[in-house]
Amino acid sequence: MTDTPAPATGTAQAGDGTGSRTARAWRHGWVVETAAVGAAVLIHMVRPVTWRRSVRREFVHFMGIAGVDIVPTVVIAAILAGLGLLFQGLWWLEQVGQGQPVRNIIHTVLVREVAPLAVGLLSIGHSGLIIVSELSRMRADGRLRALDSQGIDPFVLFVVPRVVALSVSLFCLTMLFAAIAPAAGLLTALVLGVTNLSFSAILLSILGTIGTQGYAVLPLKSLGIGFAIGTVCCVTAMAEPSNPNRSGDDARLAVGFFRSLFLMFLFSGTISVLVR
Amino acid sequence: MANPPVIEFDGAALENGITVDLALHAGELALIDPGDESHERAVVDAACGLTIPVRGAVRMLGRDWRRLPPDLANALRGRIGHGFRPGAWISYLSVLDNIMLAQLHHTTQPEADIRNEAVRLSMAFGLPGVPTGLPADCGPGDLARADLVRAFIGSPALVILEGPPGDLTGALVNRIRTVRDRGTSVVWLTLAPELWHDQAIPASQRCRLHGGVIAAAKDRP
Repeated sequence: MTDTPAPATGTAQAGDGTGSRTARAWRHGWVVETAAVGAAVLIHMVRPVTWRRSVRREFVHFMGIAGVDIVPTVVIAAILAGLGLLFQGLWWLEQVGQGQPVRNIIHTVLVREVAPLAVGLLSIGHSGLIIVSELSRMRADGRLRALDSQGIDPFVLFVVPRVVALSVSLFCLTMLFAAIAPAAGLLTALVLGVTNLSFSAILLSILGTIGTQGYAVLPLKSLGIGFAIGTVCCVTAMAEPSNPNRSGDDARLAVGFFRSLFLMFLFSGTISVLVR
Repeated sequence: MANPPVIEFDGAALENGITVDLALHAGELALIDPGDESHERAVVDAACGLTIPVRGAVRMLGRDWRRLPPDLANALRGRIGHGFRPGAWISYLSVLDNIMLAQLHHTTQPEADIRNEAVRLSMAFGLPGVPTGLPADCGPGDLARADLVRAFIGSPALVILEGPPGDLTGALVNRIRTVRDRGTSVVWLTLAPELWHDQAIPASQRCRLHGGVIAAAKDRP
């Protein structure tokens, strides 16, 4: 699932220790490229000159793809997650009588951990792969060269607005998920009578459980995950493939999916550890 | 002091081994037969400053591409109108949006004005109006005309045409006459010998590849 060149034969892999080490050293070059492109995006996104009419249009266009198009899916996923996690949790807690502490844990996990990851996964599958597919095709067809020769930097026209749009839309969708998932779980629990607490009491309990740091974690995670997914997908689509055998569209999609997933878990885990 | 050439290849040795010697002043038309498509691409990329020559220099409006910072180089490229051989359309934008893209990016001209100019040019090139559908929904003939609209829209200092179709020569020559009067220079690249020899094209210079060098041909018609 990485760019490591496949060995020509089994014996070459076993015998060539130096070559194998060289290949491993290059395998993670994309992390450095992604970090560099991410830094460049940060620099460009705060320059007013970046946001010309063409770039603003691309931003709006991609907000539609990464944000609006995916809303129904996020709502359904949030309802299912709320039913699955919260309703089940409440039901079992009522059975075993371990009320408040465990309920708090479930709330915290649902809002702080599950919401950004679930929305991140949906965004990778939808918007991330669209970025990889469109940009790699444009690159292969020579359309990026055409833009360059018109004085339009493809980085400014495609990468910056798409990364920013993906960040903003992922933040908005995570908020939507975090609002809908607990509500769906609680409503179901109340309707089916598996909890004897009132709706307002449970809602206050959730809001109290998230805590001040929780409200910092959600934007930080969702914006960061969106930024990471957008950047790594652009890098995967536009960079020269390190393995010519895996330079086709399908291979790029698979590599982009893997990298996005990896960065999402890395980022989410790091934030969770740092902000408790 | 005399104005510098709009585009100047000063003994520019390109990466693919060919050398180009050419100076095109305001209002001139150069008809170039580069030999094949790879040479054509190399000449165009060098003219736009996308590749740097191994030796010599390429200057636009007296400015050496090599010495220009990226933002300024992009702004200067914004003064080049470009007709592409394969079309090079962004598939999810309408043809109209593709045509307007460079103008929206480089200028602050009102969108309605850009659209009106696109409509005027479309009609000049034989279209009933500017195509508003996606490029995939347009026929190759319409796309070729729309590509010329894209090349001539705005007030480019230089227009580079990569192998425009022969059946549009009449409309193209008329348009070139108009823009030359305004001081726009045109580089017309063609791989068709009959077009290169065509006396009806009012070329100031006819250049072609000979012995690895693209320069004004001695046997010019």
